[in-house]
Amino acid sequence: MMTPDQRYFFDLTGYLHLEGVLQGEELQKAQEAAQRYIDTPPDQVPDGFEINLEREHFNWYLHAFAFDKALEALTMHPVTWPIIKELLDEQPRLLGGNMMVDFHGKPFHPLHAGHEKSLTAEVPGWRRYQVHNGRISCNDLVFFFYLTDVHPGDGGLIILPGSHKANFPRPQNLFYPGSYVDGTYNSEFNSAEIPEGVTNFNPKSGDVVAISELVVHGALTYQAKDRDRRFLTLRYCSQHITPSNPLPEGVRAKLSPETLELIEVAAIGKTKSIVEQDVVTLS
Amino acid sequence: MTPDQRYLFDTTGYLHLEGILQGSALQKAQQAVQRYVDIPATAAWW
Repeated sequence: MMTPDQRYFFDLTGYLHLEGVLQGEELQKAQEAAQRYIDTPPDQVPDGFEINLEREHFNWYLHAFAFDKALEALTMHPVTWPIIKELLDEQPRLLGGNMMVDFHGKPFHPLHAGHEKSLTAEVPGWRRYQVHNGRISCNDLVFFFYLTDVHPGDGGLIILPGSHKANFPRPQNLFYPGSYVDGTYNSEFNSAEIPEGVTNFNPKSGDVVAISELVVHGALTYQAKDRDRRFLTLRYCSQHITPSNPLPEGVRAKLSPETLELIEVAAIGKTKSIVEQDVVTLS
Repeated sequence: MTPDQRYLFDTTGYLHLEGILQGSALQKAQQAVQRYVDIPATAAWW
């Protein structure tokens, strides 16, 4: 279960900053696995994996969670697992997990959120954030596992606390005028400013930031020249929501049975066996 | 309200409105407050 502090804070802001989730050998193994993926030539990645160095806002290492058991184990980490289970009504599903590497020269990633289009659409979409009988239900979550430190002034992740419950469309240029042009990202825009209402994070290696995909988020232009910002993103949804992009067979083939159960689509109301476990050990 | 104000208030529950009082309007308000502050407590109207 989440602690009362976590429950209150997440409901209020749409995020949690969990400090020191990974420490010692566990952190070191995750960092080493990430480095091995980064050091792999793009044309030599295992079947089903992909390195995309053309993404505008970061270098992208697809399916990194499956690249190494040290990273796969993070999908049901003892610290995050109770939070995942509670927020997803004990019916979690891992949609996927990629590693992002941000470095000096990568541009500002404009603010965005998963449900913004649905605020103006006739149909409300599938993402939900609601509280009923003291329980939060949030069916689209992202956990950022930080593998390098982010110092004050570096830039990186920004969010608008509370925006996961917004009832109005966000004026696109409200906080960062010029970041959108004609309704799309302005690739020429850069900013490291933190205006009133915006929160920027300075996690250390081993910290985790968890957000509702409904909370407005983006990334400041990354400033540091002597190190990159690298993190594994793990995205979870309700288990009955089907994938838009199924995991490649080569990626699935590397996963332990417990993780395969986690990524499995299941009926509403079914209890996965992994959910009955407080601590899941990969076999 | 403007769309910006509406979005911000809905999301955060507050608005920070800059420079609402300026010039003589601000000065008069400040002077009035100061006159109130300067009233000895024993001489307050209540």
